Amino acid sequence: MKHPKQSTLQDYFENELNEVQSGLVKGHLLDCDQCTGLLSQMAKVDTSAKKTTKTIISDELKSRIFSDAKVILEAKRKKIAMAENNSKATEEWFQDMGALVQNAIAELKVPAFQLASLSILIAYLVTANQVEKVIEQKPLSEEVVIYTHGEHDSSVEGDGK
Amino acid sequence: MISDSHIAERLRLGDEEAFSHLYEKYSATLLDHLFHMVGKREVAEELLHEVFITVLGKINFYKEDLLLKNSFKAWIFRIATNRAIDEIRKYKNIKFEEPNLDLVDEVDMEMNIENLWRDHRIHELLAMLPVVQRTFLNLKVNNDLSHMEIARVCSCQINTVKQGLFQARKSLKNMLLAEGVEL
Repeated sequence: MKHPKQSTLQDYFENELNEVQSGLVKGHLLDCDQCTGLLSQMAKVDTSAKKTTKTIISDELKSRIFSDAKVILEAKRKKIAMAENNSKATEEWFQDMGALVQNAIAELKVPAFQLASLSILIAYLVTANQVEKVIEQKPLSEEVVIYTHGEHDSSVEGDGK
Repeated sequence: MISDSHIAERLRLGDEEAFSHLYEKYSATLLDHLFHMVGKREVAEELLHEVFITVLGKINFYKEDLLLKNSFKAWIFRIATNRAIDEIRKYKNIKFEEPNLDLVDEVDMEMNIENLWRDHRIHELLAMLPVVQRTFLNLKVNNDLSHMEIARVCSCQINTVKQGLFQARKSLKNMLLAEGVEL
């Protein structure tokens, strides 16, 4: 009779096997007193390691934990409320600005097509300006001298062999 | 019973009632776990206080792990274990203190005192095991965590947990046999 590995037996004892594996071990245990004995020993060791008394926490410790927790939780609530207020204020600001722009456009009486063209032109000018700035920047590679093997400059300080 | 994920969600919003649930659910098991690790009631109580404060401070970083059945429990126990390990590094040998009879449940006093001394003796035997092994055993036996959950709590591989549990049981069995306990 082939016994399951010790680790498999332990996994079976701790309910860590899948149904198929568990079924196989269960089938083996029906005929094997040795493995059944090992399992019962494991159970006895675990029972002896199990705590039998109920843990009681002193009132002093409990009140200390709760009073500190209260402070932290209160701070959390305040932070959330503040964040909500901020997002509300931002939302209101956008609404106000939207209304302001709409009013201004209505007063200017500029046709929508011309307004759209103007926006595209402004966007183009801003982007083009940014691109030019990037092109103007000196690339880093110009400032770095790269020596390849055999081309070492002996005039460089610290290489006075 | 409120689920762990609901407790975590409410704690993020600063709900005090959720904290009460958290305390009721985990304070005793956490204190036992810490006591198992550090061996001194006073130190374990101090650590328990710190663990709850840390849990509240870091609750926004908690992410539920769908692979684990007890994801939140494993997360809290990981915080507790890390804190206890920091504390253990201060001592070389752990001497478990004698049981405090003032803290015995008054119902069936005689039986409880007997159990308290029995628990104390087991604590002393467990203290002879390497800290990792007794932590594995305690998390398995008293907290019913799976191998994967214990691995998360102790930041190690599942095979290390299996091996550690096997060794812990073997050593404890030998110690119990040496004490004359029939197995």
